[in-house]
Amino acid sequence: MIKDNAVDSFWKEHFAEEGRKLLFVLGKGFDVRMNFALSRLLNARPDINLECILIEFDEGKTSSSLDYNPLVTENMEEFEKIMESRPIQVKKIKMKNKSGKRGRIVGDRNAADLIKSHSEIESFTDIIVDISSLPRGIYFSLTGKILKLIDQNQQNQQNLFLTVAENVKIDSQIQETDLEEDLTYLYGFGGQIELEAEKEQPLIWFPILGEDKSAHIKKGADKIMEDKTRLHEICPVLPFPSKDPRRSDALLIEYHNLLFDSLDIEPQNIMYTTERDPFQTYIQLSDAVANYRESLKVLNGCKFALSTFSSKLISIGTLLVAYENPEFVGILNINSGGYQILDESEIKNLKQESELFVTWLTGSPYHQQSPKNSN
Amino acid sequence: MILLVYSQELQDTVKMSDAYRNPFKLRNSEKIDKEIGFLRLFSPLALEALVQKHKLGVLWGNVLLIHSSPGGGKTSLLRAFEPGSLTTLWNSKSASDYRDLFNTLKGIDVINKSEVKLLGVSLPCTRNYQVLEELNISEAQKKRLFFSLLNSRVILSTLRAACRLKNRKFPEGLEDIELRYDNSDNFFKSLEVPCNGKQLFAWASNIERNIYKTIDSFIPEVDVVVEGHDELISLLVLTPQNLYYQGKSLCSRILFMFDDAHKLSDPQRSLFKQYILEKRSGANVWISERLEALSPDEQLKSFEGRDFEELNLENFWNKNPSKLKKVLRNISDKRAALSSEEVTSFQEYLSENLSETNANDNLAQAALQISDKIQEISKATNRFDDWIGAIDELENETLLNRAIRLKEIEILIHRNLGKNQLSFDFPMPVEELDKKTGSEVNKAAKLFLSNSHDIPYYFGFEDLVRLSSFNIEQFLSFSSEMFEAMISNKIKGNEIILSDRKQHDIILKVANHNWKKLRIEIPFGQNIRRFLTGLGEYSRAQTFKPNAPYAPGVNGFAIKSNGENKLYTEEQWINNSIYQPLVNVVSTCVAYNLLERHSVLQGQKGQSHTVYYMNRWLCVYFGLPLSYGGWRHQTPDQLIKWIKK
Repeated sequence: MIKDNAVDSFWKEHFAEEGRKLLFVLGKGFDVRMNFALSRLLNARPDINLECILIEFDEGKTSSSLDYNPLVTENMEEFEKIMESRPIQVKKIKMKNKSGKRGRIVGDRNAADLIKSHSEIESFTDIIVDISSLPRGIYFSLTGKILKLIDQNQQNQQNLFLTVAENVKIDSQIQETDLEEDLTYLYGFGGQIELEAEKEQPLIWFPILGEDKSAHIKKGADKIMEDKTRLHEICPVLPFPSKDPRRSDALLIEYHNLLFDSLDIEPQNIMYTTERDPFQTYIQLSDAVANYRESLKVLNGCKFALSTFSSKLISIGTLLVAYENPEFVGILNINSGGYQILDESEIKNLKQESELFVTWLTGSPYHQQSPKNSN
Repeated sequence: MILLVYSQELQDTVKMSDAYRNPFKLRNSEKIDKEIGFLRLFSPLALEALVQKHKLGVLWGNVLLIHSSPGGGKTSLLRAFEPGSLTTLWNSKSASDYRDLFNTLKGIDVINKSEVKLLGVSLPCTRNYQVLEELNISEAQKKRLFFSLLNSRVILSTLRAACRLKNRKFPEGLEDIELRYDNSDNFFKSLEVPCNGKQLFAWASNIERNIYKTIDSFIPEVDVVVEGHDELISLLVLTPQNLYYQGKSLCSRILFMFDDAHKLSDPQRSLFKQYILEKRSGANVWISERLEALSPDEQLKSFEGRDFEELNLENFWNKNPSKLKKVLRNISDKRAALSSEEVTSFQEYLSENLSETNANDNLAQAALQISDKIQEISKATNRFDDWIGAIDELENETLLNRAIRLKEIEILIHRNLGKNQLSFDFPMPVEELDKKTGSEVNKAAKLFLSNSHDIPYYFGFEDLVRLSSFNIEQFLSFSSEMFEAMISNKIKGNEIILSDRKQHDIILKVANHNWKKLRIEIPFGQNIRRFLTGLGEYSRAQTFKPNAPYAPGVNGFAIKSNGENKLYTEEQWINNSIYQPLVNVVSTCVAYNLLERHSVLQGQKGQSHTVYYMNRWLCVYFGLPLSYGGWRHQTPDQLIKWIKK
């Protein structure tokens, strides 16, 4: 993983190599961080051979996100300026299928369908998916699909990076609204949890907690416990070490009633994971999964559901755990039908305080020697 | 991080022996994971609606649709019929705690002293079914996959339930189960029947896995072949006549319970229901749905021409309020008894009366202000001289009664002044005052007093029951905060009992909290908040008119056609895209129990109106009475203005 200060020099060095061709995938949205990673990249390597896929997602006519169209326009003006005459493909995806009463969530499936086969990406040596302005309901399945396509064609040794502009203060200004009632495991990340044939296997849920998410946690817990006869365990994961050392304590205070009175969670179930290193999260969750599997062998194994109610950076760790263990680890996501920004001018002011993180998910370091500057 | 429960056998004995600090906060009783714990908190009175169906002879051999909004108690109801609950109950049938439940279930032919007669098979409709709609295959193939997936899961679930019913370990017990179906309908192609449970399980499991691969793989295998069916063969094959355990009949009756059927896609849901209703195989099928499953048209209008039994839990409690009160008292007693904090009762710690000592200053101020007001509004006439004279006789009354009486007089003077009639300025007799003061005016007077002089209004167990809006989860959400305050009092060494003021404040706090959550938790949250704000402000304006014309107040509306155009029917506005936001808002409000839908007979010809009342917590939020009956007609145009405000 490459952290903020080292990113520019990393891009300079990485893309200095002859013949590099980059596919950059990002989302069109109101988040002021939409162009953050792209502009840093183009500042570092203006000469890069780059094509861009801009994902335009439609949350429906009633989405509260539509209130923020002026912010989207501002972002698009900046995007066009940065991209100049470089090739751009705009791909539209619907988050909901309108054939139902209030529509079915189909964003994850549609996101994975954006890249149908490896032939669509084989000409690129590098792919960057910038998740800064993409919802979880999109980037998990999209990244999973790209990883799968690359893994099945390993002779190409393509590099896949995820970039994310982290900013906890901006995150807290953007609140999710209209939470989806019908929770599902994300497409490609079902973890075979919902197989009736394997229902006797206990279900262990690792919700990674962030601020102001009690509604999410309640809905997630209801989903985990929907099958009354299935044994389950809830293991809340708190971000620690963290930039704010008191963050995990504050979260425990915020969710005390919910965790200990309503959900009756045992204090020893609480886990901690590093706030700012998804690979560390991946290692810690993988260990926990392995321990549980070992302990519960007598019950013919167990299944795991991971949910991130915290930063996108941590979510990358959960994505990796689920991707590696498709037969028993799934991602339970709580989609929102829209967003509410508490203070628009504030998030604009906070934009430059964002930190850029680059995670290298597959490619040359996994085949050859470790590249410089990466963890 | 070790699971507390390791095996089925241990389930009944572990964990629920522990007490809970505040058992009212535990998420719904159906989610309390051990059977014994579930049974402890389950009220047999909740089965009352089914007992009535049984008396009418329509409970068994029928299709029963169970409707309620979230938290209405339908999932708990179904859980009571699962083999885990029934066998646990049967094992504890002599214990006094469970005798009522045992007798109730015995009364509806589910259990008796020698055996559990029913095999309850529960199947949540939440798993992957909707995703089938997204596959790039023909409609016929989708239907086939849907029925195949459903069949495989019904079979798997039935076999697992059978093991539980016979107290056998899973999957070891499967070998002792037999399916003695002769395949006369040629339903099974790759399975040789008759067969044992293990073989049947493997066959169904293979089908489920293959379909799962098709729907959840990033790069699905192209050649997966699924043994498909175009009908629900599982319900036809899994009958008491075909299922045996160790050579004997497995059970007398099988009940298939499809929970959360609203989570199927619209085509799947209608296909499923159509099949079940048309086939009428004689199987016992219960389908539970939240009201949100109904299309806006269905929700806004009444159902007609039903070919099944329906049980709407909220409606049932609405028609049987005394039974609801009993159930809620029973539930709260059971929860309190589980507390580790030695607060073992609930209702007795809720003060039922207004504390006049605490409210003394406010009441005195109120009496003074209302007296002045009465003088002011009646100074232009001597019609009310005798009434005002009667005020002096109130000196011997308590301050509370005096303030209420004064407010009643004020309301009645306003009413009289507002009448557009010729009247002579002769003083009206005091008897006239007494005649005009009905219980509604009395209730309005109390509400007005509370509203303008900060006197507690919402308190007592009766109000908590009203506040439930016929929804058990909602009752618990208010009660849990009350219980928390009781625990605090106990810890502080104070009296446990909660004063009227404390209760009132807690109820207001919960209502405010619910309001804040609306935008996050409910679809169309922003529009719904605007709409409800419009409704709340309108209702307050109508309620607090000085003459209290709709005493004790308005907290509902009925929709009527738009003014002059009499031909503009309800069907037309519902299907008009201009009103789509309104249809979305009203149907979602009904689905999430923000609006209660009641059928009301009113008018000279006893005309039936569909009235949408605010959920009772919304009445608290807007400071309105908890009673029913106060509603006004609104046009769709007026209603949609509230959304667009």
